[in-house]
Amino acid sequence: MIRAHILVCAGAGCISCGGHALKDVLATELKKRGLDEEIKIVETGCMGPCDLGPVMLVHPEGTFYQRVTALEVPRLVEEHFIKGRLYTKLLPKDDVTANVVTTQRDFSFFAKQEKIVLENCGLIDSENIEEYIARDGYAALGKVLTSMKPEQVIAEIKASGLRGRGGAGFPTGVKWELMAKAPVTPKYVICNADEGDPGAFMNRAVLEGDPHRVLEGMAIGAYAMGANRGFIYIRAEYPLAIKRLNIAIAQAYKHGLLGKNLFDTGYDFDIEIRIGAGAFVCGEETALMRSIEGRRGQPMPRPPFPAQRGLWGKPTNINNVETWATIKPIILKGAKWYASFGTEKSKGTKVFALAGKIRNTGLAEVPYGTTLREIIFGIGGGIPKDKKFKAVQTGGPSGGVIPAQHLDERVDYESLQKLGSIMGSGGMVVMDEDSCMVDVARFFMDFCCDESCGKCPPCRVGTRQMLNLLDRICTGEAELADIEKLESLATVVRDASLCGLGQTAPNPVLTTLRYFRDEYLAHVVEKRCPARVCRELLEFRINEETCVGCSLCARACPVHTIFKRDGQKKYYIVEDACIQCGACFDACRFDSVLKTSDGMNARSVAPAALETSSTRATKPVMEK
Amino acid sequence: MIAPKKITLTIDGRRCEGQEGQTILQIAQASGISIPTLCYLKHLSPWGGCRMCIVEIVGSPKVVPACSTPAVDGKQVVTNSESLQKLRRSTLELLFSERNHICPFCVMNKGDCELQQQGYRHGIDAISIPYLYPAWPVDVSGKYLALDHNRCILCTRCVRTCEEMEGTHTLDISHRGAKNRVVVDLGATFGTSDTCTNCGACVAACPTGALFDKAAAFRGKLNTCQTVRTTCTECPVGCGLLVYTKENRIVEVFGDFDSPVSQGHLCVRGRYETWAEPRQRILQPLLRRHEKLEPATWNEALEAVRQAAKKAKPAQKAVLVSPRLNNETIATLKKFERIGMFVARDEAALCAEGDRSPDSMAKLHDADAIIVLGAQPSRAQGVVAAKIRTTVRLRKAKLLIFHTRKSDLDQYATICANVVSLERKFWGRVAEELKDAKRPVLVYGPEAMTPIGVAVLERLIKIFEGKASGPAPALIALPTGSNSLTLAAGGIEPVEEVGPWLDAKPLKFLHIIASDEPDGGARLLDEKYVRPLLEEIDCVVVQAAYQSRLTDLAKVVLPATIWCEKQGTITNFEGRELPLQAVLPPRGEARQDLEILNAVLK
Amino acid sequence: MSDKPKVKVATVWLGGCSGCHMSFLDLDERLVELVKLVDITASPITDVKEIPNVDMGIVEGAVCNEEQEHVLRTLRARCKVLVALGDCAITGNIPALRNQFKLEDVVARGFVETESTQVGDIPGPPPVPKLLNKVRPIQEFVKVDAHIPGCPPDADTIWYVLTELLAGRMPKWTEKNLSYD
Repeated sequence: MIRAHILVCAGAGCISCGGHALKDVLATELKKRGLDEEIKIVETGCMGPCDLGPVMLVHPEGTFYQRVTALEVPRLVEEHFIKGRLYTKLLPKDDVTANVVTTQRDFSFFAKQEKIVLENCGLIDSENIEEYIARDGYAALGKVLTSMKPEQVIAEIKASGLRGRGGAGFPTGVKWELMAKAPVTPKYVICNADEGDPGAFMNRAVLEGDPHRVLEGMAIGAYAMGANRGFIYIRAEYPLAIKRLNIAIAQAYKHGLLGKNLFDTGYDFDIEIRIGAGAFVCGEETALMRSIEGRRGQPMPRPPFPAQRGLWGKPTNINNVETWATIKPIILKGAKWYASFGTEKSKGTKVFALAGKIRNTGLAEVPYGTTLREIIFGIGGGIPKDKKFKAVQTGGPSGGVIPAQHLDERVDYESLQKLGSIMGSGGMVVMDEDSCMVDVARFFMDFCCDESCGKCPPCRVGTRQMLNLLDRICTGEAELADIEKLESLATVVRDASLCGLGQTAPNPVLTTLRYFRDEYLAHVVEKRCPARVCRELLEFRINEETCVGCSLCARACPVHTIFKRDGQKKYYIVEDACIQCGACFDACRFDSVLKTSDGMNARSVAPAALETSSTRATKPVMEK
Repeated sequence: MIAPKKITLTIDGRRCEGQEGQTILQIAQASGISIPTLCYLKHLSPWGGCRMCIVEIVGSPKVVPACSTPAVDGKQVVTNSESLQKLRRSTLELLFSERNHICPFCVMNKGDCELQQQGYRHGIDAISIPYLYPAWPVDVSGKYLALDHNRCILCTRCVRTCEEMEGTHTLDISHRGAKNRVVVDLGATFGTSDTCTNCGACVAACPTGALFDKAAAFRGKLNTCQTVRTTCTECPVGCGLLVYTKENRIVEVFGDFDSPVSQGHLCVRGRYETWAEPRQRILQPLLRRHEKLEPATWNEALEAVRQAAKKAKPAQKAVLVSPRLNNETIATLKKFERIGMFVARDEAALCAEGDRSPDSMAKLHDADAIIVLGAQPSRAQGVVAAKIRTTVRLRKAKLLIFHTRKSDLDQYATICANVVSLERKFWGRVAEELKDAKRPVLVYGPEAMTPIGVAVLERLIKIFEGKASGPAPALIALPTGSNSLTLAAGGIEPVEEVGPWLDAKPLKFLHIIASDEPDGGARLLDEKYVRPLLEEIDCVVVQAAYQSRLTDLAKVVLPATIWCEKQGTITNFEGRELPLQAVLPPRGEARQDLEILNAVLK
Repeated sequence: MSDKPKVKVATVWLGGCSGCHMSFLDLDERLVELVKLVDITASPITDVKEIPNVDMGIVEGAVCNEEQEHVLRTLRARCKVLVALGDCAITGNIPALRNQFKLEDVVARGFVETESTQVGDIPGPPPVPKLLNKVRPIQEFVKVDAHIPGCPPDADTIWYVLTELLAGRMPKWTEKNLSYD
């Protein structure tokens, strides 16, 4: 008789901070106490609040424990399972309500979510197909194969309003229909699991936590579109997801849910895994297909679209992990049910990966139309250390930053585009007042420049030139004309590039220029960095009023340029020798190292330089 | 076949007609609308990378590359709006800024460079972004070609050419983004490449000075050269040549894209060996006086030949010719009582009985199964090898190789039997492979005429005869001699072993016409007993373009013309008569083969 | 002679071979016509070094050292219209070839490792101006109003641009009059 289940998160986040060890220690402890017969431990996929890991959930009561280290386990078992009371030390504190959370339901992080894609994540053992089947797994596939025609499946998906979760938001049903109509055979379906955006990990969570869901979605789609072979293209950086996918595929084959003659209907469907070699651009569908073919992963112009000419020249359908993962509930619960979530044009829910300066880093699934404020403050718990929210970057390096004045915008494909950003795969990187927006733009441009495949010059050279300009701005070498050049280059790269990578690479620059132009001007004209991030524009001084003479700063200084005043206990920095690394600032425990960026000592600005302009003269002016 | 549907586009306000399946660029070009391009080449698959040919389609938010976008009936296309011009200009500026495109000392300067031309076309007097000035290496290790990364614009025309024309895929791009570079064999150099065949097609495809021919560099701007189309006579394929000349010297030799045989492709022999190799030309007649060959006038030389010929009875006179002679010489040659054509081993029977299949190259292109028997196209007929490679690799034909020395083609073969097996099981597998062949082609060379070769040929034919359905294979004989099939058909006896031929009837006069054989005919002497037999003959006349061991032992040496000086026709292995056009006037006192023959016979 | 005041012109010769100035002199008899319209003040041709305030500044050559940067900025500050004459000023051209190497290597090759040198010494400031890390075209330092590409631009092109500028128009560049060599 089992009286309680302990769900231990085995998502990559929790594993990296000791999730596996926690499970082992728990098992030993339960055995020691003779509880191993009545309390069962289950390793699940990601529960969401990765920042709090390792996390665990105790059922039936739904108690959620955070940061459960091995050392705490004996006390926890003693309190919770023997004495039958909450071990309050490990209960999370709700940042929104400021209450100590006793059950998962009370935690704003969970309470405000609507889990459809992630319904099984953090609940079932992803390496056990029976647990998936117990949660209606493969029922949708059975329903489709035994009672629905391919057209009916496509009609259902169309009616659900589901749009591609990979970023562009193309209606999934329409895409399926195009493919179904293609006269050529064989056809292929592909699951795009090459999740490469920095700060995005929702696909990984689904693949690690509920891999069968993706297989089932692919099988349903393949049936609807007339394909018999599918590929999952997954990045090599996701070893755990690959392992669990492999297990899931083997189990599905064993149970006759993949392979020949599924559900005795004569329909065959095979899935193979293809592992990417770490190129961001291979998330672009045409590059991804070339990579599967064994060629260099570079995008090709569309049209022809994959549905016409895809993998090995045959009709191919590519959908994102999250899209495939949404198919099962739509089939089981109906298009109408699914379409009841979300906004008019964006139906259903979306998983967002919250990262950056936010309290609850992790995954959150919410209906479209939820406001940014609700996601960041309601679920994410707001900004740590009570700093001021400055902006949120949505859509990864291809997205844009959205400033505070748009926090109440309802999130869907159209609204984000209107703000100059994109939905992308659903990454949200939150920035606070300490983030320099020029530096943020430079970071993302550095990423795009590095990941540009090099096929087309606007992206290959344009991103490099933009990065150089941003470097100049961040180091205070830039002139006003450089901002014009940057803006003009950004539009060229956006408009002339071949694929989505190049076309969206300038978004961070364009949006920061749009919402935070004053920061650029501060860097260029006043040679200062308002957020005090850009090293070359900083000055460090020691406030001798508050300096206690502890010498921590002097010892931290890598260039040994902090000295003690003669006969005093105070320290000072020799400014000419300072390399602005900030080690002293970080070392000081008394806030006595002052970091400023006044632009005063920065290089003087040549007036003539400011006059230079990238715009071409139309008339020579020589009149006296 | 259903005729493709007619479609109509409006391009820049003009009604343009085309067919379904054509790209916007094809229809625009056919209608005389010029869209700038850089990475596009007509004979290569579209790439859409350079972003020069971007156009706007009314109603569509993004620009699309005209070179790869299929035209859709009824669409309106704009090719030259202000914003397109700005984008193109900016893209060009980015390209100029990327590497070291310093025109004044480039091999392609003054009009040969497409990047420069695009710069002019777009009115770029200066660029508004900083130059990156990277430091890129230059690979000059190749025998004939060199790669200067500083001038590369990464259009991948060379990469696609290497894959789609030569089929070796020696070239590709490595690294990402700004670190992109063209690589040879994944990081080798041209000098150390295992796969590069030196076909030089990449150089011909390069729009800038990145890939260039060492022999042609700085010898003259191509756009100021004269061009002559002629036919390569190095092998029986008969590829079209486009020869660039200036001041009576060859500047560059490219493939002729209008050639019905080779469609612009060449192998190393036609592309380089004929002009980029140092060879010792014979520039005036030589006469043996006092045991030494000394320069003489044509009259002296011809007189000496005629005198010697007079001394011999007709039966004691013979002429031995190279298989390179052109069709026009046949009639004159037949005035001799004994005529022989020296051919390679096992080639006599092939020349006498070889099949000619019209449009062989097209059949190789479309084949779904290619059988190579006893032929070595990779060594001897590079363009046929390239065609086999591309058909097998890109169009997924099956390749079966029998009784042939090892070559690079082996790696693409489904069955490769360099040594022939007679096992039943083996032939069962061959039959299985050929079961579904709908367009089979059998290419056979000299070694197909050996007893083993014949045995294999018979078995193959039996397999095709035993098939319930499907056509018989197209039979293509592939000799090594350039015009040997035609000369043999004209009644000239192919001679494999010159010794016995010479010994059969003692000769007093022998006229050897080596013409422009690269070795000057010296390979005759490689055969046992030929030298002593030649030494016994009173008068050996050697008519050759290049000095050799053979000319050294002649009594009279007559200077012949070389490929680029010849006039006339040859008939290639397909049976196609192809013109030889004199590109240059004969050098020195060299004369056409036929002209010399006539003078000798006068 | 017209009463209209002449346009004052100064020309400078930075990192270049002086070929562009030579090409300027190739205007030949048109020089006579030109001096009716302009006054050439400071210039390698007149050998006047001090740059006065002028209407038009013409620059040949790329910026290779600090002195050249200073001259360029001075000219920019003292002229109304700045014209880049020739490829070195516009692209860096031949002087920029050294950008592919480390500066130390280049000067070592030039002053120490040369085959005829027995005891080499790398000169530095003073008296030789400090070399910039990279040779750069002038538009990367100052605003340039008009460019005359060519290595060197031929006299006809120079004439066309100067007359257009003097007439208050910007030169129009097409396939016909552009040349990068």
